[in-house]
Amino acid sequence: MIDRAEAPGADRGPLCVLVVDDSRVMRAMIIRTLRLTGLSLGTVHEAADGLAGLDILETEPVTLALVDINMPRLSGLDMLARLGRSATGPRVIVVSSDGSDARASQVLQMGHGFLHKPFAPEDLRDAVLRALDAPGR
Amino acid sequence: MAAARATGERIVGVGAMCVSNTPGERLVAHALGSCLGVAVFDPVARVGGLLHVPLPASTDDRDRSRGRPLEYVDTGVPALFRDCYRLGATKARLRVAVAGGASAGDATADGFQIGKRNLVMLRKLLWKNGVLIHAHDVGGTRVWRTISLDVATGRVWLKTPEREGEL
Amino acid sequence: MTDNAIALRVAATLAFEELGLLSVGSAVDTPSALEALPAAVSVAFDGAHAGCLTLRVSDDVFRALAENMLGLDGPDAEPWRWDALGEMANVICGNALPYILGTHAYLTLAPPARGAPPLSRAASHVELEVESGRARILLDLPGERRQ
Repeated sequence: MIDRAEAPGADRGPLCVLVVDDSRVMRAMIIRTLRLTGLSLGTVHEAADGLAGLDILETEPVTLALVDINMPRLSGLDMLARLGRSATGPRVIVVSSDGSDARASQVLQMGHGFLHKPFAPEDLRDAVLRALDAPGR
Repeated sequence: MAAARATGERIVGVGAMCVSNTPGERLVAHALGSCLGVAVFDPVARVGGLLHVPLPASTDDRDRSRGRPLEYVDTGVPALFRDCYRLGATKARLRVAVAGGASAGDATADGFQIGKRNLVMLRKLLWKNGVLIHAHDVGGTRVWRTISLDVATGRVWLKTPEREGEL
Repeated sequence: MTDNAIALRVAATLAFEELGLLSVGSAVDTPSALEALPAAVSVAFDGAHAGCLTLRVSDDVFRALAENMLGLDGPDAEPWRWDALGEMANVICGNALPYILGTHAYLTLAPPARGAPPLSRAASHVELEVESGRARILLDLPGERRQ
């Protein structure tokens, strides 16, 4: 238990996080969990749809993005398609209640992490640590 | 509350807990079925505790629960944390490991779903108090787990009829 | 219990226990009066299939959801109650539909809306004990044959 208890991600700088979800409850739950993980958090941005998420990504140095799929105006998947992939882009975890194989496969093919709702806080912590530990793209 | 053995092993029975800062002691809860074994450890204060708790909510039977806080998750877990604080632990440093919460069988055999309700109550309690679980091995059907905590190192071990290893 | 009702029960149990941190008991045969389930939200969906899922809960469940999901005490949780119930409906919908419509069906879920729309006669439903309260989940798939 000790090994895993050392401050996770202590060797990284503070994370700049973006949480994109049209549910403010889910955004609050995700942010509360991130704060409880012991990870070093810098600025935490919130957006309620894909367009607002893209606006933030254009101007802020986001290092970790947690993105819902079903949202008004622009879905999470369309937002990520517009964002494209780059070595300097944020690590992305798609967080969705859509349990279909089609969705999960699509997300994984895009090179992102996938976390299924509902999740325990520990599942989110583990998904974040996996995403941060994944090799750079 | 817990039986001591010459080896430094302290057995934590059902509805009991043990808190220790004595290196060399190992706290053990045997044969957890639907019961939970909740182990906590502060790696700085070197304080550990283990609770072996059988039931979810003291509010389910207020007459029976009076004077028996360690038999219920909603009163036993706060008691475990409080006793650790008395030995110098802090909430922010306490690491939590959980085992147990198995189902007794199919829906007919396990109408009360005690194992599942124990887990839901524990998750609610920890989440509301801002504590995440660091390691767990829970659920399943008719799984008998033994959990032990080494007070010197904070290592938590899990043993089932099929496997044994660090949790 | 129909196949659709079983899928709704499984998805709702998962959502209430994992997200709402409330234990779910048995499915109940005698449905509650509507007045006993005063809080209702619905999630419409479109795509490979169109329809609507409605979630109705008793007042104690309505209050507990926001408190549990956000880790807040009663008064602080009050402004979050409808959002919490809406997210529950959203998660139940997202988890139940792949079982009912197939895991390869692309669907788009609309944001949860307060209230319950009129249902077709073929709507599937299940009512569950949720701690000391109740929750009823209804799924309307117009044009689908009831299973």
